[in-house]
Amino acid sequence: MVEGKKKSSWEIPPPGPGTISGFFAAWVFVGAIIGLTLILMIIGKGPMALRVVGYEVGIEGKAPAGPELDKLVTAIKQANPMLLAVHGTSKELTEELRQRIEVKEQNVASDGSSAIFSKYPVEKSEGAGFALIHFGKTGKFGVVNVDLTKISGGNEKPGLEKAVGLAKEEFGKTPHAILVLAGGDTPHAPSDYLDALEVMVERGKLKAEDIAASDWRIFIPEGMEGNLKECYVPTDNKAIKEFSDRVPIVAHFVFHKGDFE
Amino acid sequence: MIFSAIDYRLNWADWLVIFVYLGGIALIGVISFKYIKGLRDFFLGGRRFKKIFVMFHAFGAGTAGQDPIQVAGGGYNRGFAGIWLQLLWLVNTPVYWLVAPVWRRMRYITTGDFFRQRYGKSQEVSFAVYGLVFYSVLNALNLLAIKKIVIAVAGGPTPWANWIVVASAIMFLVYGLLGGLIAAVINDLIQGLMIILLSFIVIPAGLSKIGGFTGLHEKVGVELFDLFAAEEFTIAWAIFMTLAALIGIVAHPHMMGTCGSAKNEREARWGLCYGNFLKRICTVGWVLTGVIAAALYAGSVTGSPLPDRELAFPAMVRDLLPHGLVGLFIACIIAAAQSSLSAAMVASSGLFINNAYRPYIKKDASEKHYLTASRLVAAIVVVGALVIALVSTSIIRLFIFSMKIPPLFGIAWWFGVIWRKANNKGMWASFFACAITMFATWPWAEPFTMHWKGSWGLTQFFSRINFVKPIGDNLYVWRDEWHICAFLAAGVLTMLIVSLLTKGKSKKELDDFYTLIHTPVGQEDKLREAGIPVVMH
Repeated sequence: MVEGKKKSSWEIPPPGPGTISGFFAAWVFVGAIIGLTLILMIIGKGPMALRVVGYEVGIEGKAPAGPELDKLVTAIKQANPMLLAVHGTSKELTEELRQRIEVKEQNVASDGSSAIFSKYPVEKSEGAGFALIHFGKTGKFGVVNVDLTKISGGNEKPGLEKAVGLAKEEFGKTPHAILVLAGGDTPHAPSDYLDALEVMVERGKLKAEDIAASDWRIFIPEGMEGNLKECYVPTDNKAIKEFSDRVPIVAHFVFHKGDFE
Repeated sequence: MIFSAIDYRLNWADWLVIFVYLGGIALIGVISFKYIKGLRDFFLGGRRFKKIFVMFHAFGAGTAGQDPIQVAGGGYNRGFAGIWLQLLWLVNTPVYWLVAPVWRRMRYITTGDFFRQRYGKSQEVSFAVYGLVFYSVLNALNLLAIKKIVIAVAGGPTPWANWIVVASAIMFLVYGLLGGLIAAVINDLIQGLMIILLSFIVIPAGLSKIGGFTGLHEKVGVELFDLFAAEEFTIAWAIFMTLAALIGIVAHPHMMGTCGSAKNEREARWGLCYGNFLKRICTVGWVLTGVIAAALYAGSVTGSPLPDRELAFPAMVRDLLPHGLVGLFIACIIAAAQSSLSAAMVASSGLFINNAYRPYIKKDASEKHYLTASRLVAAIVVVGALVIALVSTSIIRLFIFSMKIPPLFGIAWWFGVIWRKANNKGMWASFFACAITMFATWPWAEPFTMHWKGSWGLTQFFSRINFVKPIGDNLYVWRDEWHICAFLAAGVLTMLIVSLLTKGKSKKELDDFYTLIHTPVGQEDKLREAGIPVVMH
């Protein structure tokens, strides 16, 4: 210390031999470990196929409760979906699920039988995981990876045709689910889509009042491997024929926008 | 179904491996007993260890039984982002290279000695009390990990779980109490090799079962291969937890023992730094195991998710490894637990004896008396941990708690080493500001609402940066990210402000302290010539 010079109040211990070189060498090790992790992630990520993971929960004819419900909630949390659609359940069960799963936005039917829960605004849900719970005789829970950056629709170019094109163009492989968000303020649903619904009505598969102008449409194709038995294959419409050839649909759910108001 | 076979039993091959391991480490403790001549041997192994032993001691002490379990659980649930449960220490590891010589140059027995010399007696005693509580929780974490594994391997709750936990505690008490740090360090070498084996033992079988990496990416979601998760292990969480770890690590009492046991500061920094790098490599194996478990249990192979994510690792072992290797896995987890338990046990008893019992309760007793008292305190800490472990269920909650407490003292350690103006008033103010903020913003505190004009925008902003979590209509809870940021900021700012405004130790005392940590090991004569007390070199 030089006499008369004011000493700093900061006291950094002086480096011994090898301090600086060793410190930088340690950072090389840090880089190597991060590199190893990234390599494993890249190898693991690979060309990810869209897929479905399906679970069965509930007892026939009854919604799950107690440990069964815990199992369902665990499965949903494990899947970490950004969107969760609930169909054919009860108001109590829908509310229970809403409370136990982190929900950012929600659309719940007035009778509580259907709901869409989302963790983030849909338009920000890039690469979202999507989960569907359908309670018929037995509760069915599926998780599908849906790349929501490929959303089709809007008032200008609505319709299933674009979704079909995107399915061909973007997905490459057969997608396990197509989530059609036919929202918007106009009372006109995409025409192709209505065509498809009319076909279903004619077949007696769908009630006329279920045809809503502005809905969430969810197609679950055969990736669910028979978990969902209700099968609508709208082959009469050209566009839908093309779509169903490409994406063999085994289940189709309609969430009415009106239900969520 | 994985957990349907509750009548699963370990067979003779598993038991043989477990008993051979437990008997072996107890034997090392008995042999080490004859080398323990006094406190210096018991707490610091006579300051005789070279880098390989220090490396494995740092690796063993820093790798607890719960680490593989919780990282694999995080991987199972959140994918590669789960690695942040341990990788938060990664960027801190090069800092060990810088601070290891500081610990060694202090030449103290415990970190409590540092707080007495640098701040005062009240800080010394409070750190000793903190050490006992901290290590009771940390030890409980280790024992809880053993319990979880036995439950998972057995296929459900079984009285065997508690008995194996008790037996493990007794075994490490035997070798720890008899052999002190000498036994702990020798065992760490064996246990470290077992931990490395454990980290990769199940990966080949798991990959084979799901069809290799091709099968892996077909069976689990793409989001499991992201470095940060949308929930829990967010980028903000990783940053703030890393910061909390960096600030808090210096207040882990065993760090003084790890560095202090080294022959010199070069051995200390090599051992501490690269011993911890060994752990970081193992962490990659743990998280990969968890992701493979996601493909096995949450994917389409079994179609049955596990009831508890912390069961991912042991469930894979049970389902994929043959008898004998299952026993080896349990022995490895016990080894990982014991290696950190023994370091914790020695450090906590050292703290209490040196920084509370000897100076303030019973002065001038014989060395033998203090040695016996040290062993008694170590046993009490372990029994306390045993009780917590037997009644606890969640590893992750205890872990998060154990990460948040050390910064209460860590802030004072860092400022005490690098800033002359840091003083005892600043230290206490920082401690209480940190503790009060921690309590007020604890994530499981009551939900709150915001009603004033513009509050929606504010909460949206807070939500976007992961500071609050919406749980209902205009109902929010604080998230960990905000919580950690808040209490660290409160502690650091209070230390700075109060220390600047108040007066601390005399210039002579400060000069003595800084001369001590600026003088390399081996130059103790210079310290004596300058009249600077050396607690123990």
